[in-house]
Amino acid sequence: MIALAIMSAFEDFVNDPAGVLPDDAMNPDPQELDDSDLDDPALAYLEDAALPDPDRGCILAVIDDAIPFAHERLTLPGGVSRVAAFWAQDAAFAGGPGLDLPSGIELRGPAIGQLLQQVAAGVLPGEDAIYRASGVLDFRRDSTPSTAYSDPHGAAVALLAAGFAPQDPAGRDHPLIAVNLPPRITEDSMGTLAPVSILASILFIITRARRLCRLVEARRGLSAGSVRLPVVINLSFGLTAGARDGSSLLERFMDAVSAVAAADLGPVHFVLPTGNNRQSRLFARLKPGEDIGWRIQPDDRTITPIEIWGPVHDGPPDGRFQITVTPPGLAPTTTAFTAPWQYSLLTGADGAELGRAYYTPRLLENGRWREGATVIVNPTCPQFPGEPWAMPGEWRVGIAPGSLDGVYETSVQRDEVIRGFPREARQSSLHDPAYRAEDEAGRPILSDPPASGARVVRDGAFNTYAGGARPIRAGAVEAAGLSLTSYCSTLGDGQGGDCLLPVDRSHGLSGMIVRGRASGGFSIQAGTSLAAPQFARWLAARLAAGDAPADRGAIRTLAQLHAAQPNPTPVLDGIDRFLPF
Amino acid sequence: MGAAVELKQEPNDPNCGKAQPEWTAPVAAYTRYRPGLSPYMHYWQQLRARRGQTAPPPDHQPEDGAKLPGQMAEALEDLIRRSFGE
Repeated sequence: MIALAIMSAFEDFVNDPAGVLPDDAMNPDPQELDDSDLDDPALAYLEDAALPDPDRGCILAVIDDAIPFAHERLTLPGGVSRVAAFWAQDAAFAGGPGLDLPSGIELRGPAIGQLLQQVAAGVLPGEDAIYRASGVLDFRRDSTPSTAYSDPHGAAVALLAAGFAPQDPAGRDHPLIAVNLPPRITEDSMGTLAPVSILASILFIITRARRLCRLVEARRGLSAGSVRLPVVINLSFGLTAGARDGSSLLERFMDAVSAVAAADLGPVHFVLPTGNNRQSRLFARLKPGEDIGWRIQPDDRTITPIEIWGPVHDGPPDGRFQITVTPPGLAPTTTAFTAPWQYSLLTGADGAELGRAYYTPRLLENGRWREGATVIVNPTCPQFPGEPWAMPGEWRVGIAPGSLDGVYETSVQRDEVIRGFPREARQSSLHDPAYRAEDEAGRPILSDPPASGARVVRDGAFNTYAGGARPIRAGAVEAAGLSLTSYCSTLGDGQGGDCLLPVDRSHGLSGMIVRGRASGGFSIQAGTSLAAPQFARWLAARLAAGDAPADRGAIRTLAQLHAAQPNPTPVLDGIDRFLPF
Repeated sequence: MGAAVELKQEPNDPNCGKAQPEWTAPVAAYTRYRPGLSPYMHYWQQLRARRGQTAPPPDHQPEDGAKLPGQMAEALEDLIRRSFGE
């Protein structure tokens, strides 16, 4: 029984102090799940015709935005849905099967199948109407209607991972569990509010995957706990600032989930994109006494953060680590933190608030400590008159002399406009005169020149959700020559991920053809977000075929056996994609 | 001949004549670790409180957040138990 697991894990956020969810999305009376999902056909996760083979099945799961749960590629012949469970976190709460969830609505396969049947019978006017009839899309609500977009990120990702032609017998063995994150999570490129929603999504996927296994047992008359389907979870989201050492709660949770050998569920693997910011000048390495230019743009209505993560050390924080910040036109000033989780406001000569800093050291799993701090500069154009703001220009941020000796990894947080979402963000970047972006011919310099003396570096600027020990990091190559795309981040060893997949058609032709929201629709998109679901699909196929790699190293070795180019990083090709034209 | 001018700062000091910003005295942002809390979340809650959209977070003493780093492991164990426990 899942005793209000998802709800109670985040009890402090039930009142939604950050305002992520519309008021009508909240579940007013969460209840425990019971076993009715095994007895009531309306609550079943899949119709019997869509249940996977207990020995050859592998569940695919996708956490994203605007996932097209009614798409033809997520069905079997006859309009039978392969979507076992779909959670729209910010949809208006309307009862239904997801009574244990803190918000939104849950749709399961039979209910989606009924909507598809209504379209086939002409009761609903078309596929688009399914999203409205289900409550997932409602233009009357104060929420970005990304589910209405023709080519949303979630459509490309979910269908690369789990889209199969209805006639393809492999589809039945790959049911999908999907979560639509609230649009306010997606539009906030700096991920301020994302961890809770992502953690809740993972809990949802695990609980529903376990129940799906019980349903297969019940329908096939198998003993309890005998069906243990593996799960591959794709999370094509990422940030640019963080510790990159697996020490955040989200990273530790993903590692722990993958390490658990549950008695009633197969292994759970996570796949994430390596990141797209190798050339973005968002990452520097500093030592005590050093600083770096930080260019903050005007007309930015969002905050501009930077995170600093210092050396690992044995003792608890002792107050030596301090940050020096120099606003444009003002003198430097150094923090005076004395204890973890303190914050200070930065004020100008006139006493006006310009920003703030937080001291966030982490206690690592091995009992050692890592110094951490976050500096947040106020918007350079406040959202409303009277709110604090800061001047744009070249700020400087540095490590105060006397801080613990070692390297301090300094990362600017992602702060950009996500396609389709209304947000007045402006990406800041680091400025270092010793850093050169292009050679004399105007071609991008793709790796850090040795002995350049630059504090801004390319290598190691990978997705900060992907620093754990177990998730697979998927990077992007161009299809023409299978070489790393110029934007694909690298892991600190110069490699673009644990595995690479074609995304761009060539270095001159950005992007790949991906499916849109509507069945038959397509668009061209780029980024390592599209490499991850291709790898998730491949991994699910291998797990369904009986391979059982224990960890990331074993998965990488397995990929090398099947790679078009096995070394130095395996490149997988030929996975279900549109042919170029 | 004019009067001598006394230089009060080194002329090659790049910060000569610049106004001095200040940090306020540090205080704890939180007193207990919970999934999802972060500097970003703290800023956002304070901004929403300033706009009258939510209650302001309570004031804390400077040392009140000292135990937070050790509480993350407890939060992690709780999440695992909720995911896989009966």
